[in-house]
Amino acid sequence: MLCEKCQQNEATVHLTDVANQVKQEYHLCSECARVHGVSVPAQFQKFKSFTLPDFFTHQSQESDTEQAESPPENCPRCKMSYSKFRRDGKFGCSHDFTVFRSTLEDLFKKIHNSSQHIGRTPSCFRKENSHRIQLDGLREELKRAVQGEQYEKAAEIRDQMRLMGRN
Amino acid sequence: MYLGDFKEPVGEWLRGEGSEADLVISSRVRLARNLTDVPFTSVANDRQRAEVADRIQDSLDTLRPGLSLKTQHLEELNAVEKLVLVERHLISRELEMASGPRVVAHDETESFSLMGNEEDHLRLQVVKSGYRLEEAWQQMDQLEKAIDSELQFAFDKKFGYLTACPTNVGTGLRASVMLHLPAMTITGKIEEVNRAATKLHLAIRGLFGEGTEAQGDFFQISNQRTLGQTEEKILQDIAEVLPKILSYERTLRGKLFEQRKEWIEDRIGRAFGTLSHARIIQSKEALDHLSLVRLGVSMGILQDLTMDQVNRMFLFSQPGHLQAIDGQELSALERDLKRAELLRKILAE
Repeated sequence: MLCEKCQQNEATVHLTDVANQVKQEYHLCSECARVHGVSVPAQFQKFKSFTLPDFFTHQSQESDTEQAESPPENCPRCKMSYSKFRRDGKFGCSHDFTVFRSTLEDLFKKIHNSSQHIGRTPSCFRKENSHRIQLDGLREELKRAVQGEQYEKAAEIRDQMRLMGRN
Repeated sequence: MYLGDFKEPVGEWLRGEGSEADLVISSRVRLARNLTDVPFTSVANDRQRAEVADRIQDSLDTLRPGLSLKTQHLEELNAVEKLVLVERHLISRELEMASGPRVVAHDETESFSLMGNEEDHLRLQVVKSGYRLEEAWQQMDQLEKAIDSELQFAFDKKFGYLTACPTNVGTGLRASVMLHLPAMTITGKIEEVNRAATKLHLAIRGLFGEGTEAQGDFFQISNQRTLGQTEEKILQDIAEVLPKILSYERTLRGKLFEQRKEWIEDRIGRAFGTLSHARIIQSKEALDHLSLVRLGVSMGILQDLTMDQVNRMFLFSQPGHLQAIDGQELSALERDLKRAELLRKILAE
């Protein structure tokens, strides 16, 4: 699913906010989450005072936040723009695929009649994938712990995720 | 510079073994791969390209002795040496013409080769003579797994292996067969095959692959799509179409032999005659005659000639090999003279 904020990247940060018996869910990409200070440790610390609705209605005056709100045009790593890519017919780096993701879906459907790879996978991806599945599982557990007000357990899970994030 | 023994073509793809070897010269599988944390070749600077080359070399060193390849750095080779590599199908014209750190590595039989810093960081290739696409893939499967264990390939769970060109994304696999289709060319049926192939999402290209024209009635048929299919399906699609093309070529040859026997024998005879006696001959003319001579051998019209002689004439008469054999760079006229001399010599065996 796409990030609710920028509508560009995959949502990888899923936050459930329970306040005054009202539950709300937010789904963000890591970039928007980082920019707006939404992270698991940050959430836990600001738990009692943080109100999410502010985050969405807040109009930032700063230009860098403004840029994060509009879809990124150029790849931050290799500076490739989509128009240059179309002109030269070549990507600049592997990060381009993330930056231009939604547009590439249509392009690949045109070229290959498909945008989903079903062939072999590299060993590094298979290893990393199992890691990600574990992290997703822990994230779910953390959500439930916070909802159920089991803060000690939530803290343990958070620490576990931090450790895994470092590996 | 390693050129092998010129008494026989070292190259696997001219060995003439494998099934349907008179029509199917060779079968080839190619995989495109990139490393995760370096920009793609066209954007990378020399330092980054050197880094890619080093990492590739390190991974190959780690894989010895199981995988024993000879590495060459293209920046260190002269024009003739590079041309020979192109003619042996070990590097592409693109790698030959590019600048900056580039590598090629291949095994002794020239069956497995890899290019570093062509359009992608890594291009792996397995070639087998005759129609042996499945066998080529089995070998590639092992080799790619081995190299994969030493390097981190750029990959996306949706888009697959990430490549510089969008036409290679996904599997990064280009499977192709090189065919000799003189009857189709003579009878003008190639265009028909071209149209049929395009409908099936197969590409037909000339002798040296992408962007080259057909020479000597040699055609390369390959898959066009690389995303959304498994590697096995891509090979299957070619395997389904190929027998039809081969059968069509054989039927047309049969018809030529029946309905225009004297005409085709005359053309083959003249080609053989020219190659046997010419003093000056250019590349294109030589290839055209060689194509007919090859047809003649295949159809049993030229009985005193072997396919091995044909293969050697074909390879050694090309500009890079001519100069490598002669040990020096030659002008165009000198090459045309040497070519004629070499052809006469091989035909007289």
